[in-house]
Amino acid sequence: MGNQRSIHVGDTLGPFEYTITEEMADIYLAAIDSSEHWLKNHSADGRRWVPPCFTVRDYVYLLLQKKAWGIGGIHTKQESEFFNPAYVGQRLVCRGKVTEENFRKAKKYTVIEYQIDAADGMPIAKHRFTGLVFQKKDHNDARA
Amino acid sequence: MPELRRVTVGTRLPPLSKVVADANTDLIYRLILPLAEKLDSGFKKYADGPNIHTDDSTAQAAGFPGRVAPGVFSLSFISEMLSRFFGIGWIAGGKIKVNFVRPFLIGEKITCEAEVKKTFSLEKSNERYADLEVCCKNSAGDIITAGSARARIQDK
Repeated sequence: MGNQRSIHVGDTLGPFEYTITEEMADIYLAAIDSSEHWLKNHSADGRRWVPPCFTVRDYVYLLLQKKAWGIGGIHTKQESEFFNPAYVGQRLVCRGKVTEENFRKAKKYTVIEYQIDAADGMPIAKHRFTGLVFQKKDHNDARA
Repeated sequence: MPELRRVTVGTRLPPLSKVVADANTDLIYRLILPLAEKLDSGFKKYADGPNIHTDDSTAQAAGFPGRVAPGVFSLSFISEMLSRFFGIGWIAGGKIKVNFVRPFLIGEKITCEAEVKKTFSLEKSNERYADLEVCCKNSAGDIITAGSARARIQDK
């Protein structure tokens, strides 16, 4: 992945928009090996809700958009708050910010706070990722 | 749906056990790939290449005993356990904070657990909440993910 950029405290990420499709919901449920009856029981509005953690991985899109994903990472902490269920057909807007960098044992732990809103402004979730975001050189260092 | 009115300090949620297989990791890549490729055309090359989730030797070179499951799986499983128990009170109103304490391997069975540590009501809304200790353990009983969660207690 060429032209990689490093991210630093204060960098803003996004906005990045996408629409949740039926296929995305199907793949996600299969990935977490889950039937969705526990969601259907609560989806009284007739919409097909996706599980709350569906948007946790959206930091990856924010980093990719910034050309800062590198070659992966190691997730060490996660905080999430869920305001409203997201559903199939809904358009979501993701925005984030790099809020902290901590160095431990020569490794840089990056904190990214990001929020997911529906395109109409309804809040969906707020997340805080902490982890190592590998650039190519970092990954080689981690292996050493 | 459990009888939520009976939730009190010491209530243990029904545990949830799952195994993350290669197929599950592949599906996460399939989920991310279409949008990721639009954002960075090099993503597929990474996703298709050897990495700590897909290749034992790459994982071992990085210091892991074998292919590692993405940590976020354990968070998704804890969330499912809380969704099954609290329903809308978790899906719209829940919050969680976890540390991915140690990696778990592809093919390893993990079990999520939660215990209510405190219940309280908000004066303004009269809504009732539960604070919980949550964790995921591997089959040896080692904690792989641990933290706390808060859910609204709302009967249907």
